[in-house]
Amino acid sequence: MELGKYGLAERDLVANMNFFSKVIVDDSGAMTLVPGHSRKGDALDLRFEMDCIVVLHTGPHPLARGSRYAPADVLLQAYRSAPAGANDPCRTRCPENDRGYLNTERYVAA
Amino acid sequence: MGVVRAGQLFRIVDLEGNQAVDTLFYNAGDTHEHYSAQGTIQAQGNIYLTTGSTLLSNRGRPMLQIVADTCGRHDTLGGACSAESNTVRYALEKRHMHSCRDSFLLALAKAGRDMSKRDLPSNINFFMNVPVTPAGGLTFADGISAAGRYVELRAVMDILVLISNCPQLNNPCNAYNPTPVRVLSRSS
Repeated sequence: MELGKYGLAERDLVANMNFFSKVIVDDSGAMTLVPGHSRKGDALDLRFEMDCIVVLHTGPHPLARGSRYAPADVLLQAYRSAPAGANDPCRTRCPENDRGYLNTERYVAA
Repeated sequence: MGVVRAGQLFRIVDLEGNQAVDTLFYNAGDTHEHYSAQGTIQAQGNIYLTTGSTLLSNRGRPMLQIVADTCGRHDTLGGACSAESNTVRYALEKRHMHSCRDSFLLALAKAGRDMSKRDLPSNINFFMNVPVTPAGGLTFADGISAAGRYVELRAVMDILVLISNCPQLNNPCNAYNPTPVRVLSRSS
């Protein structure tokens, strides 16, 4: 519904990320949701390298088997960050990331 | 691209072995309904497709069932290669090598159905072997398929099929050597 307010629709719902959830896969391909993976106060910092529309939904993981529907509170904070420098760990982690940053810089500069 | 009618059988044959066949399925009568990797994987609790797998749509409806599979398993996570990912995964100057996303977009542009890049969700890679490590890594390994292996599906609704027979030369998903596949459909 929220996507509709930005002119996006059903076909724009692609495979999403599930932050704070961990699913492991065994050799046969079977998936298991790891219980108790994230703890109170755990946090994730995302730096935006381009303008983005962010859509968030809190709720039980699709593989969760609890008996009570009880989505917990999440705190969202936004703050300004410096751009990724030449030695930024995200950039230097692997050559693929470095090329990705080059692509973004060219896109933003255009 | 082609249409398979509800009830028909649809077979893809890996003629020479270890070819990756990037495939998307749509409701032929309403292409906003499409194969959902997430929905399919969630419902079966497993990341691999093989005999017995039901392919679900983004509306939670069965689209096709895999009724035969002589390869063993097929990939749901590897996605489609693209000119853009060529620049990231290999080298900036490899942008213009052939890729599945370009093949998909060319087919959609010719189809006359008002479909575009918005209609390219996570695809299936038939015959492709992408094991997942305990740490969550994807490994693009040599395939487990062989010449003559096939996968056969039964359509539950009228299906628009979009295939890119992967032309990628830079990784072992098709043994660095793209080869032809045969696509067959028949009434059951």
